[in-house]
Amino acid sequence: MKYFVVQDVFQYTWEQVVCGFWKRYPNPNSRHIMSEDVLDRKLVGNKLITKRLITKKGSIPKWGEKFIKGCSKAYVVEESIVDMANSTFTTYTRNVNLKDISTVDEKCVYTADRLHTTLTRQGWVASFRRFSANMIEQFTFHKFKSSTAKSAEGFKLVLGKLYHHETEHPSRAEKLKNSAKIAKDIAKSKVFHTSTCDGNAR
Amino acid sequence: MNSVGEECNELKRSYDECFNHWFANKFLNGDRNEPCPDLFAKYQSCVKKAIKDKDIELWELERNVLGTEHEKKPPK
Repeated sequence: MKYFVVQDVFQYTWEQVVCGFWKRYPNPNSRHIMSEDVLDRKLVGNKLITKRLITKKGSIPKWGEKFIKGCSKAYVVEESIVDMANSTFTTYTRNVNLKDISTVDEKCVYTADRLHTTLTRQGWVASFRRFSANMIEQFTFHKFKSSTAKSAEGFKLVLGKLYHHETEHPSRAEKLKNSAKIAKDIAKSKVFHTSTCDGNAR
Repeated sequence: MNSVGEECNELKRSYDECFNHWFANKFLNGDRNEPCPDLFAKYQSCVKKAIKDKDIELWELERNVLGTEHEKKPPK
């Protein structure tokens, strides 16, 4: 299993971020998102609890095609809790198909920080494929990390549009700086290997 | 953004519009009434039918992970 944790800051209030979250698709970085649906939504005290189904276009590398027969869509369930009492917004996302290849779990916590919002993002990638688990984990992990950075950038573009916050549109210099930071984060990211019960992972 | 079932797109759009208005103007201001119940019921019935035709394990959609012991934990 591989794990990472990164932090990000949104130059928007927490209320703006949670309102914008429901409108973040489509954006220029979300062309792989094919659909999103609410499966369940309920109010429990001061909490709004939502479950959504998101369909993503699959992207399988050439070497991976032999493992996957004819499935080009990834179905992802996103559970979330808007907690008004603590001003936190938590999302937990997991794939519900293609799990025989790899599982990708992501937990995001958005917390209010005066006029800003801090995002703590954790990710877990695991594959239990005999012989190829390590290769699949490496590929999925790096792809997942770069796609989360792109997804955050896309979300910020939406927030910029909603709240006319021009500074959130990254300039070329900022993009380069961000790319360098992402590369540094990937290099520094905590990569943990754990053995599996059946011993198939390695 | 589209629905997983093309036939649900219009119902989804109406519900999303109603929900976003409720969320920004009511929920964040302390209103705790259920959002857009009629639109949600119609949209839900369409989505549930559409999902049945897809290759998705229904138990995976039904189970909850967030806030339960099934959440993944950071390695120690």
